[in-house]
Amino acid sequence: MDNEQIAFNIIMYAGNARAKAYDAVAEAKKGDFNGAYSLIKESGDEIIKAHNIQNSIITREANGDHFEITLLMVHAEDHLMSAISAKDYASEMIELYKRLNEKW
Amino acid sequence: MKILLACVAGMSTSLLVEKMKKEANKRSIKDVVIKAVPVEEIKSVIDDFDVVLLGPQARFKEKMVSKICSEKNKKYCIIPYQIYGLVDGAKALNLALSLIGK
Repeated sequence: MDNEQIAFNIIMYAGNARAKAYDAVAEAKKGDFNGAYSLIKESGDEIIKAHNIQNSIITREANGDHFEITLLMVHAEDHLMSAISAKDYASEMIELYKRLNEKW
Repeated sequence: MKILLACVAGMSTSLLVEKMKKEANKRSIKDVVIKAVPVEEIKSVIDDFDVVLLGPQARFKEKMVSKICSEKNKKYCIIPYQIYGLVDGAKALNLALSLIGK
């Protein structure tokens, strides 16, 4: 993978993670908590894939192979951070829907 | 032929747009307009385009895009991972052409 592809792949996995987190909340809203939890798990798996790419760059850099930081790469990191937040908040919202569900 | 690409901020797809333009140039395809916008902007520009390609990271907005496109009778598709991950301008252009039916 060249540097451009590295950034695009991080963006892609981050996007998957975000979509799955939102889908998970939609499932919880419908009352399907098993579906919601399994989507949160899938969201986490996508974040791990993005992290694995990131780790490979960090390892490269630790070995003295400097990685050039481009605006695109900063943008990719931005996507990843948004996805991680989306997943964290989605998990909390699922718990809230669950409590609502138990009350009524 | 006018191709609209959209993603969350319109940033990464603008890079893909440049590659598609180069490819169109190489194939001497004339009168082609390719532009990238943030997904929220599709609604205000869609009238000027024939087809919409959505970046896979904006998949969570698919419902909205699908609604806008069906209202305006335009085709759209999510750019497959194999094309997006390799930043493959040639295949992205092929995809747009096949959607338009050329």
